[in-house]
Amino acid sequence: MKKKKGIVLAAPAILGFLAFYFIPFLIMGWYSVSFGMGKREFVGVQNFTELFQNRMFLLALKNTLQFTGIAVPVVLFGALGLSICLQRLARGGQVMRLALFYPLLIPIGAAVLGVQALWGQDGLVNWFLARLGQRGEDWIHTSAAFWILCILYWWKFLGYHILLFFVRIQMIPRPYYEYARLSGAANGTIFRKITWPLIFPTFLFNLLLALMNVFKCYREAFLLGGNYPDSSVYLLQHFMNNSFQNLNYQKMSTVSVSMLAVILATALAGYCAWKFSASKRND
Amino acid sequence: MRAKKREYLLPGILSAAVLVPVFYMAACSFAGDESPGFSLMGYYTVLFSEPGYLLRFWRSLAMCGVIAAGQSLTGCMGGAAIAKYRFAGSKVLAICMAVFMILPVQATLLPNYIFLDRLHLLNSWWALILPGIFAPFGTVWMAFAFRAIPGEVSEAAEMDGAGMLSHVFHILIPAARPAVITLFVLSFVESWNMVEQPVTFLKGVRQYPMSVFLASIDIDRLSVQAVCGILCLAPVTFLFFYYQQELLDGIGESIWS
Amino acid sequence: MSMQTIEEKNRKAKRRAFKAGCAVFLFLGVCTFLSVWVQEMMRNEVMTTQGNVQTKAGESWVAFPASAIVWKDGEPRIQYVHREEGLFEREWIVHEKRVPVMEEEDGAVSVPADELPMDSGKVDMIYQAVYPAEEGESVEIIQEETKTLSQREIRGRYAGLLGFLVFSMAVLVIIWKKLCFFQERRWQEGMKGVVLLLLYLVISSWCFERMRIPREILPEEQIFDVVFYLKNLSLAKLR
Repeated sequence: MKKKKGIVLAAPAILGFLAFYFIPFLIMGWYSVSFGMGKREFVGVQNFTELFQNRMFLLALKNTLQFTGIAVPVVLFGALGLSICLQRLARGGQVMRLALFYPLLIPIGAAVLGVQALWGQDGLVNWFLARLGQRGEDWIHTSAAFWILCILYWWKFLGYHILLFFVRIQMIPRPYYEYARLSGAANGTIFRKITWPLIFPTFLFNLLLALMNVFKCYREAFLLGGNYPDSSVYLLQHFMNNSFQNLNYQKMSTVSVSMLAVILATALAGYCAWKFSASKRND
Repeated sequence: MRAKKREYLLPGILSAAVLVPVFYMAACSFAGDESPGFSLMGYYTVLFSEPGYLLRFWRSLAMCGVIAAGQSLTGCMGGAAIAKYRFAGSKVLAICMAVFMILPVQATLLPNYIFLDRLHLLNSWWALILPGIFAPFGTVWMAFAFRAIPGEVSEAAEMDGAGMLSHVFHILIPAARPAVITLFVLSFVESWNMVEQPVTFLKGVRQYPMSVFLASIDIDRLSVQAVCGILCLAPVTFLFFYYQQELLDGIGESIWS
Repeated sequence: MSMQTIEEKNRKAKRRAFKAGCAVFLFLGVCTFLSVWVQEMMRNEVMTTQGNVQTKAGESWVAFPASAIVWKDGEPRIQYVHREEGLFEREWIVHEKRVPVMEEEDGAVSVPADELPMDSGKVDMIYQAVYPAEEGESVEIIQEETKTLSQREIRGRYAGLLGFLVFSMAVLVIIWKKLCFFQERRWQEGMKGVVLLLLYLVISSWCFERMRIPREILPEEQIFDVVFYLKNLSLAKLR
């Protein structure tokens, strides 16, 4: 009785999910293993092999991996470090936490304006350089764009992760730390033995969110650089968007399916890590 | 006393640095268009002289409100079903939805385009609203939140003969109030910042909601663009300050289960 | 006791946030409403004509008053209006075109018919405007010259505008205070605010409809140009 009713309750969510997300993706899956305008024929993995030999795709893949590899660890470990340093704050901590959370909510247009104000042709950075006697350029359209995007990512999501870590660390009972200090443990040992194991599930969750947010940075990159930005920030989503604009549905669907595979693999790895740490914690 | 002041230095610098774009935009809004210097013409144009800007603002606000409310509603219903009424396949469904949460919009953009075209919804804001309401994020988030509510509460309700809907609305949602409000605010912010969907599903700048419209204002009307940017900040800032306690609780608590 | 103070602090913070938010959104809503009226009042008024068609040496020429020609960079241009989609309804939008002109004896000018952007054989050309018309501007067409108002009438109109401004600010503060009761779940008080707001909108619309303010006594760029009003008043005194 209970189980049957559940489906009725979840019906809107399930139907909507199927209609706008799941079934469309299955259709993409079909597109990725077939070829032809009009009548499509099954071609197996031919699209995939072609894709992985495509120069633009490999560039996009390299850029995306590079971006993820640099931006995500810095933001996670930086947030962890900062949230530990900021633990001692009681008063005013609320204001600061809100301020750090704010960049997440700022509309895209404002962030884009800000970036152009700093690194654009008539931006602040160029003004500084001019005073130092150097000539500046429109940094957004050079290879410095990669670092600009990284800084944008860090600016937006650092506060978010600090908040998540901060709350979790505060939930660790104080007596653990007092006992450790009484036993004469150094700060590093305290971190390794007490804080880190307890935080690990949170760290994994933050990792998941950070990866999700990497894909969100595409919007700023798109608004700043257009469809074909500088080659250092040509991301996977640029590739997909351009394939869409060029009506090249094969490429787009192939990339989507590959992306899903990678995400599934990562999620599986994360799940295994979580299970492993949970079993270790129970010891 | 000294130690206290020093403690404020790091967070103070962090907070100020993080808000730089906002200050810059505020400064730009007072820039004159033709003659450089202080001028209020940007504000006059947006607020009093051309109703188009404010009307677009209200329409976008309504659309995002609908999306946020719809996503919260379907999320609560779906999340309650997954967390409390463990029907056949609910675990698989939850994992499926979680995976789709991470997938970027581009993955489903194309089939959505074709589907919405068949429904003749392409050049209206329904093309933005419908996928937004059924986004998997809501269901996954609420499933997590409802899982933390002890089962005894639900069983007591079941014994009292409460119907399914009243169970959800009168017991589960009040118990998980911070999480529901956080979901509402997050999905509002997500739809307020929508970029890819309007550009793909709508034709022409005239139809764009505020988020994309901002980027398409002429660069030589900088003060107007800055004023519109500040306008865009208003609803988000209001939700942020009004629900700050719920946001901090919701994000903190609802993921520890 | 410390739990209670946290609750109290939260409630106070919520109340403050609601008050600020309510003020901002009420202001924006009223601005939206007013800007519709301001846009209509500040719309440039023009008089148009379709000219007289004449045939000269086998070609058709159209004759206009000389004021229809605008000189920009030493080149003669005509300004004509075209009906296009506006925000709520179809509006008249100004367009410009460079044309060769020939002067006539009676002070009029004529333009070759094929140079004119004809729409079903006619074109509405601007020959008189309150303020210089600009390309892309939305204008209102009037049929005859509005009579110049006497100094007393001008002062009356200005007093009306100023009075409306003061009245608005006072009423809006009251409405804001009433609407803030919504946060404390005092629905009745809040509904009073809503009713007052609706009344204000209706009364203002009626006032704007009745107060026909000619475009000449309003400033050129923006409606809050106090310098213009003062100058106009002192000029009116001289007349």
